[in-house]
Amino acid sequence: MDEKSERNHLLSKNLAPEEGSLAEPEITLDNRTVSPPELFVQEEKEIDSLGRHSQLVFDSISDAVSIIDASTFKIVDANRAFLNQYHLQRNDVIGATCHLITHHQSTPCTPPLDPCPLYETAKKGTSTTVEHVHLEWGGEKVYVEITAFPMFDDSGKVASVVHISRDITERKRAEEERKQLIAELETTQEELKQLFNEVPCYISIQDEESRLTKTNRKFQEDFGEELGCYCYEKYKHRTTRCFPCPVQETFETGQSHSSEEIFTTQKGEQVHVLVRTAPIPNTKGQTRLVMEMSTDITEIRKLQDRLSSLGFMIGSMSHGVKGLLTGIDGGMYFLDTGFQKNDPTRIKNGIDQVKIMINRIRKTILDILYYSKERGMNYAPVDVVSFTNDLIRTVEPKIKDNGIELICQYDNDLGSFEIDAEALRISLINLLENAVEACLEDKSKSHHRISINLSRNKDLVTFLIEDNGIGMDAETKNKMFTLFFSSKGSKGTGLGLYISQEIIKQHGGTIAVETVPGQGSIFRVTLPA
Amino acid sequence: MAKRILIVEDDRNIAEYLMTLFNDNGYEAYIASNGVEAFEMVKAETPDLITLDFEMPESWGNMFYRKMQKIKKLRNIPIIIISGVEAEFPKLEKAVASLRKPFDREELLRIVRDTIG
Repeated sequence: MDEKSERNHLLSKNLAPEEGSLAEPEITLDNRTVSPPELFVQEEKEIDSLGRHSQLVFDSISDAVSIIDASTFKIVDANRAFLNQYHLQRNDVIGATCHLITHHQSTPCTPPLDPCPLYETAKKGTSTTVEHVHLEWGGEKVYVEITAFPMFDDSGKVASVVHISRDITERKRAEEERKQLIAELETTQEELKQLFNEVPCYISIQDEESRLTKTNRKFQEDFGEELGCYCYEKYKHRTTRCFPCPVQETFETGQSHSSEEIFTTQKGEQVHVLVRTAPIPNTKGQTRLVMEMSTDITEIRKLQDRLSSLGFMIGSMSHGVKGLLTGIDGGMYFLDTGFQKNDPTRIKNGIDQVKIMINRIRKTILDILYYSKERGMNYAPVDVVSFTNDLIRTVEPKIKDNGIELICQYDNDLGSFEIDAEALRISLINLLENAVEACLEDKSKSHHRISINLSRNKDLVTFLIEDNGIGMDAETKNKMFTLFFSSKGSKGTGLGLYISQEIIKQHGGTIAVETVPGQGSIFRVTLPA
Repeated sequence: MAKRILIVEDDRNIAEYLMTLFNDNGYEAYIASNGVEAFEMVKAETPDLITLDFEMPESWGNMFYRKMQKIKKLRNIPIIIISGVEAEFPKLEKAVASLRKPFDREELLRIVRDTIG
């Protein structure tokens, strides 16, 4: 119902005479009696004042408000804000349809894009709120939130609807921006997460108590996914913090620190790492978290170890090689001068010497070549006796040629053992050649012999190699298997024995020697079957 | 009279080579295979020259040398060092020369000739 009719309605309520009565009723107002005309004027004034007040309220609302007829959708009234929004005059608006003014459409709005709130409100009798896109007079889009309230007539039907439209363009824009920022943020976060996890280093973020707050994939693969535990528990298997700790140092100094460490993985493998730390300042600039990045350098260290032991070996060997070369010089000198002087003894000495020296050099070179290659063992079951027969066939000629007696003692059947046949052959041949050398060096006896004894006790196979050569003094015995063994003179390098021992150790076996200087030596090699 | 050269060398092959070399060239050479033996021989009969196998970290070469310096009669005997080790020999003022193994025999003979004739 509009203002005017309301006003009239109020008027008629107050002043309607009773049916059939022409008498003027008595009316009191403010404790005095007033006449109907007076009352009429008074109430007119009140209604006017009420009306003006309502109009004031209507026009001071900053949202665009229009009153719309529920059946015709025609605008019955509109406030100033409404008129301003569409840059229209009252005349243009009153009587026109809501959808014409706000949507520039001749038909009502339809769902799904713009559901008509008037229709909903009229139907349901309750308020409806929707978001619409309205068009201003110039065609510019305005995002609005419309709330429609029902106005009921006397019969309870929805006669008109109060249509309040709030400009939410700014809000919409802000929402759009926010959505975009969130999307960007999510993308960046995804990228960061991917980066974090794809880096081929162990990365962990730790707090001041050395607890893990975040770890990357590589870290989790090797040390587990648990967070909140202490770093030193995870990869050092310790109960207390290490000292010095580069992470702690970073907390103290705010600078990056590095160190070299050995971590132990979940599987119990040792990993050499180079650790580098970085402080992570918070928004206030304080360092409450530190990032630890560790690069696996196990391979490099292995290579380095290998190189340095190779270098060391070559260094310690070059010494022995020089002796061998001097020995060859000597042999050649005897040969040369032997021919000059026509001295057969000297010639023979020369040739013997040269042969021996060349053999030793040859062996040294082969040992170096063998040692410099990293080789794994290829284990396979091998018959013990066949293996030994093969071995003896290989060394017998050399032993006999040197006038040394060879004695072999073993049963026909000693089962089989799990060995790398080639490597073990080399190992035992080295020992046998050593025995030959010992015999040749020994000038105190006329008859030399080497004996090979083989036995088996349950799962242990034992080789005994005995010679009655020159034997060794205590110092030589202690050093003989080590790379520290600085072999002097023309005896060679001692690498052969080192290699023998390594191979036997890799088979899980042991090697021991008993020796008496001047009498001989016994080498005892035991191998698990 | 032939000049006497004492060869101090524990490797028999090398010692015999040196001995033959010196003997062939008109010297009278004899062998001591360690420091103690060398010291005894030196005290018994003074050589004109000593070739000394000097290997570090073996200490007897060094010890022999130092012992020699303590005795008036012995400290002036010229010494030629023959060694397989690359190290420097800073304190051996009495060393006439220092040769590496394998040595050049002509050079060795030349040095011996220049030192004792």
